[in-house]
Amino acid sequence: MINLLFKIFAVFFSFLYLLYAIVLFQQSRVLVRTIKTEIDKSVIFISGIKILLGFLLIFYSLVL
Amino acid sequence: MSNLRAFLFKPKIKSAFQQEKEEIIFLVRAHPITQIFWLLNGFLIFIIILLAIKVFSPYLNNRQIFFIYLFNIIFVFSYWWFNFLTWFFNVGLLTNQRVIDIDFHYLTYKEVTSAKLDKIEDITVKSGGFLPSIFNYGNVFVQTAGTEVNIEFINIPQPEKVKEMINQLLPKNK
Repeated sequence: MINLLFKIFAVFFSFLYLLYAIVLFQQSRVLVRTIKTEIDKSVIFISGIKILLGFLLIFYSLVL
Repeated sequence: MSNLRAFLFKPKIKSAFQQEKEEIIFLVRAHPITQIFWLLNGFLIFIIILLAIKVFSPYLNNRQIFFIYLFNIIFVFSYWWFNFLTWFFNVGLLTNQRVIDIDFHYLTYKEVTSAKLDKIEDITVKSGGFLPSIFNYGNVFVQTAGTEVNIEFINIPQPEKVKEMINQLLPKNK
């Protein structure tokens, strides 16, 4: 029972994290368009990595 | 990496709100010391979750414990990243024509305020307290004529210098 509950919570929070990461990625693109600096690419890259981490969390929570 | 400073003189940046022949003279953002709180909060969240893992570990298997560790690290990293972006992109700009204040609230709501230099009526510097005195930061309020909006630069380094630089650019007959 605990295992099932844990899995449900894990999938739910991983999904929430993925949504948050996607919103942050989109907003990062708006941010770098507003102020163009030397670290624009790094900002987009790191925000993109967060989406990948979101997928990793979902995948891992599903195989728990 | 000079872009990461809180006070940049003639920075190598471009703003989407810049007009033709408009040059950025300086860029200011909040003093780094004011950002220490979210850094510490991140550590605190990390430690609290570690303690929670310690308490609940007898009821969880290794895979579940690993998941919580992974989620903890990713969550704290994201929390720091969100706050870093908020700090980095909330800037004040002085150009040869205007004063511009770009604010992102929770990164999703954008507010851009600008005032032409000839519309500026008064500049006020407010600085006080323990940390602002030690690290020389404070608030600069730029008041404009009539019903036009006022501009605020909050917790910026060297507020007196910022005031002085804006004053130097104001039309002489004001």
